[in-house]
Amino acid sequence: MGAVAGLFVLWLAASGIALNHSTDWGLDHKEIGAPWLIRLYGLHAVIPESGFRAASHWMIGTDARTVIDGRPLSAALPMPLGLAVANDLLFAANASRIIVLDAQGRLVDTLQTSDLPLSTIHRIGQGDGVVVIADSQDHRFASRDGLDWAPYGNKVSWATSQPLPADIRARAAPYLRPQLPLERILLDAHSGRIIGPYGPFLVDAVGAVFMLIALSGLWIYLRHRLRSKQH
Amino acid sequence: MLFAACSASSFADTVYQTREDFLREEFGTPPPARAIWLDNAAQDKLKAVLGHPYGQARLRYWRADGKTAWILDEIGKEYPITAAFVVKNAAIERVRVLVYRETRGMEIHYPSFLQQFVGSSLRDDRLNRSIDGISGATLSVHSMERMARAALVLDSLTP
Repeated sequence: MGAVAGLFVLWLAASGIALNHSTDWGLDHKEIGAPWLIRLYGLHAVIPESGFRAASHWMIGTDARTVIDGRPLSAALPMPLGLAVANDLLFAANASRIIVLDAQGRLVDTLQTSDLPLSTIHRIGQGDGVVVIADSQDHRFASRDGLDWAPYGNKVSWATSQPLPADIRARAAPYLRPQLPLERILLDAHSGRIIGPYGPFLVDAVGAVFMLIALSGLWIYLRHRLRSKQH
Repeated sequence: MLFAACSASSFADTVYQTREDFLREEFGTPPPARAIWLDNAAQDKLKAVLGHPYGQARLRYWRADGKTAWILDEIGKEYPITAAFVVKNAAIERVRVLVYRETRGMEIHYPSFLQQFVGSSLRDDRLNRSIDGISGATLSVHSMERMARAALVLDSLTP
């Protein structure tokens, strides 16, 4: 019983110290995706059935993650519109942003609508060696590098969602599984929430027992001192 | 570093000034944006002042009246802070926080803090003056210092 109580106190103290220094120790950025832990939180991976293809490149996205050619973007591109290739650059767009990558998948640039001639992107596609964007009124602009845009009237192959091949899904799957910051896991373990809605009450109960033990010890000590003085 | 930091968006975004408003305020009619490619040599110099290479290979900037304007992103604690820097004669002339995304530390947008950067330049990859910190905003203050140093390096790299 004493050993269990000791281990519990040690755990509370150690996790409390870790939480106090979570930023310095990088615990807030370290993500944990162990399947058993994710199941414990009631989360599960949802791998999209479709994605966008441009030449040999594939983009798969969820609200939380975007994976291009089997590598995750550090910030997701929610509700993607498509992928296009021009001038050895890869352009991944949603309504308000275009992420430009080089052939090795390195981030080249992030274009906001304020960098573009359109206030909202409705479609993205490829023309003759250029990337083409259009708004909902079908005003079309093209660029080779994402820097200079000019009106475009030639034929465009617009990006459309396509069923994902099994191997592309498999490559993306590890990055699309839910993950949790280690800091959050530590916090939930420290408070007891990790074992469910009654976890905090269990930790409260253990805390109350420790208080009782401490108070009873204090009471015994004071009673002993009082008796010593009487003698 | 593959797929380095893109601008992220959090639920706590506070936009103090848009990029367009900042450029209009600075230049009147903003000059056309120019782009600088950050090759390995440039990234090495940026790494020396940022502690890491800049997260993208190309950066836009604006030049007019002998000064350059830079809009940079740098992580504070969890999210990138977007800040604007104007550099003239190799010294910071003006600083603004455009977007703050963290939940704590937004005091860095106050002019009394930002004024400390004005006139600072680089000496051995450090600012030539010390910047007073703000309690509870230490990481954001450090992020602003890194960006100020990066803006000065970037200005030195422009043709």
